[in-house]
Amino acid sequence: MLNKALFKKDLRLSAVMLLVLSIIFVVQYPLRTILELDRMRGAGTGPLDMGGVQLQAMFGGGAAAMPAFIGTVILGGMLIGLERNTRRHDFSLSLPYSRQTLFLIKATIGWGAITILFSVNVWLAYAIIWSSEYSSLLANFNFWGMFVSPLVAYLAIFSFTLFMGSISGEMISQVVLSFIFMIFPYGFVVLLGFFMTTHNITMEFLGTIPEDFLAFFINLMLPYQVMGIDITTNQGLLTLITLIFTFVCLFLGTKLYEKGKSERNGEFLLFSSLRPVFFVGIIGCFALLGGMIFSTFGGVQGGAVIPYWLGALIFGGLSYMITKRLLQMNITMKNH
Amino acid sequence: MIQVQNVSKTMGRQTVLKEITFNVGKGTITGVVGRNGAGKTTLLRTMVSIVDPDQGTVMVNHRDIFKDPGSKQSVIYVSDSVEALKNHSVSHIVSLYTDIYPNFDRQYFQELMDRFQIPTVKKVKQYSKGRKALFALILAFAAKPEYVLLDEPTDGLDIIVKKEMMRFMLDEVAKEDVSIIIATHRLDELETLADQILVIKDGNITETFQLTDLREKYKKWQVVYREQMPESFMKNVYILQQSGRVYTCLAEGDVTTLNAELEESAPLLYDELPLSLEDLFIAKLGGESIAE
Repeated sequence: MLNKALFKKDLRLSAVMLLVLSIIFVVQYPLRTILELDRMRGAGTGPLDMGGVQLQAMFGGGAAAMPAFIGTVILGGMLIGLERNTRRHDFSLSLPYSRQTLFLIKATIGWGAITILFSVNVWLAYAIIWSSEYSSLLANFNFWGMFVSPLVAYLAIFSFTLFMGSISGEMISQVVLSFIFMIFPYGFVVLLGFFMTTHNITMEFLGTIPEDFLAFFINLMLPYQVMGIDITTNQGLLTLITLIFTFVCLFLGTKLYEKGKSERNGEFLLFSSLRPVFFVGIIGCFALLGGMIFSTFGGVQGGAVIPYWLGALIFGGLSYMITKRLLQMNITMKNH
Repeated sequence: MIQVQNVSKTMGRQTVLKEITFNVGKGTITGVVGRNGAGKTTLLRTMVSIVDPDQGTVMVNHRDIFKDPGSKQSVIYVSDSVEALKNHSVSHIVSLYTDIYPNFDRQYFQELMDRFQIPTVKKVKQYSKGRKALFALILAFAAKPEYVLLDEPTDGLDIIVKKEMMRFMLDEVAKEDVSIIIATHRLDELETLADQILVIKDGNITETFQLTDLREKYKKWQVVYREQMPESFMKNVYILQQSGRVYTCLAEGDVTTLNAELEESAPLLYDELPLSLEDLFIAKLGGESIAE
């Protein structure tokens, strides 16, 4: 199943991004740890002065995890989308391997690289602290929250990007759709919330939803899992759900990769049946976004309705024109 | 043997291939000819499962390539394979091919590289277009496949490289018993190469010719009459060109009978001309639409 030739081919294809991702993880963990330890030494902070806050600064995600998040998505994009943009995909399909094998090799490369790079750098950072005068800080090290959960989240981000690659026809749409859909549930709730607030629509049952559940819901967003570690959440359950999501993405991705038509490479979407869904969805969401932005010009409650709809119409109209073109585009690099 | 069975493919609203069926035996060269957009490339791409047909299948040595992709081990599609690997070094590509095709012969590869004086480079994109085409062929034949599919192999190449490539292909077929399937719209190139010609028009195979049979079944003459060609003879031939009383015509049928009929038509003089594939297409299929 796992073929040496395909490994060579895809490793070569993703080598630059793997190097970038290696640098990102080195900066994010060992380098950040060294700098934080230096800062603490300079400030004369003792190991027990601030509880686990310093450790959180070294192993927590925050904005420092943003490059790794973006890098992981781009890695997935390079392995599938970029191949579709060029003639490499045709070459791959002509080889004596099944499409399932082609997809799983890409997944294995990403999974392997992320697991190795993340683990090595996290434990390197751990070792740096352990060997320093601040080793007692490690008593606050949360194995699930600081190692397992973000690792699984990175794997899920990569797997989800591969899944998006199995329905999108090229790299840009794969990457953009991956970013959008990773925050979609939360983003859509926010947009819908603005719509209801602006129109004075209240839904009593929303108040009955436990706050813990809402916090858990936000934690389920993959970017949040790598950028905003909340160690109060049930990490075990969160990791289990993320892991199941990861395998579902891989399973569906494999099936759709087998069914994707190579003649649609370069198009925004590979499956024409998805076009109406995306067409309505993109325009609807942009209209809600436009409404949300323009409603800030409103003022008192109720007075924001007209600006809201003006914004919705402008954004909706613009997105209608852009989406129409987007769904007809074909980005394929010709090598003449 | 490669068996293409009832292959149909629709892309968008256009039917690109319509129930295509044909076989390719071992040690033969098959030309697939047709205009641009006739479906030649889609047919070749379907034969290596780059394109999935809507119906029908392709069997290689009695194994369905869509159910058993490993059966493509003996088939190499040479189109943009080198373009796909243009940022790779020659040594990396060779190592890749060695892993993909267990029969890849490194020594033979090097012999061919030396024979065609192709230097090894750090990135294949450094080669000129002609060298890339030759390199792709060398790679393909060094992998010792049973079938090589070539899509417009000589497009954009100068005459010297073209001749070199054609000679090389003929050598390979003679030596290695390999079968070659060439999709092209250049009929002149196929004349010296192909055993079998498939004419594809609007996604259909409209004609299948064996080149050896053609020379026995057709005659091309230039004939001059005192006044004009007799009606009785004209109905037996295809007029390829007429300039006054000079006719260039093509006749199909038994050669002895045709010669007798020609002499009966009392020409002032006549001369047999070499038959070209282009003449046949003009005569049989309405000309420019195919032979262009």
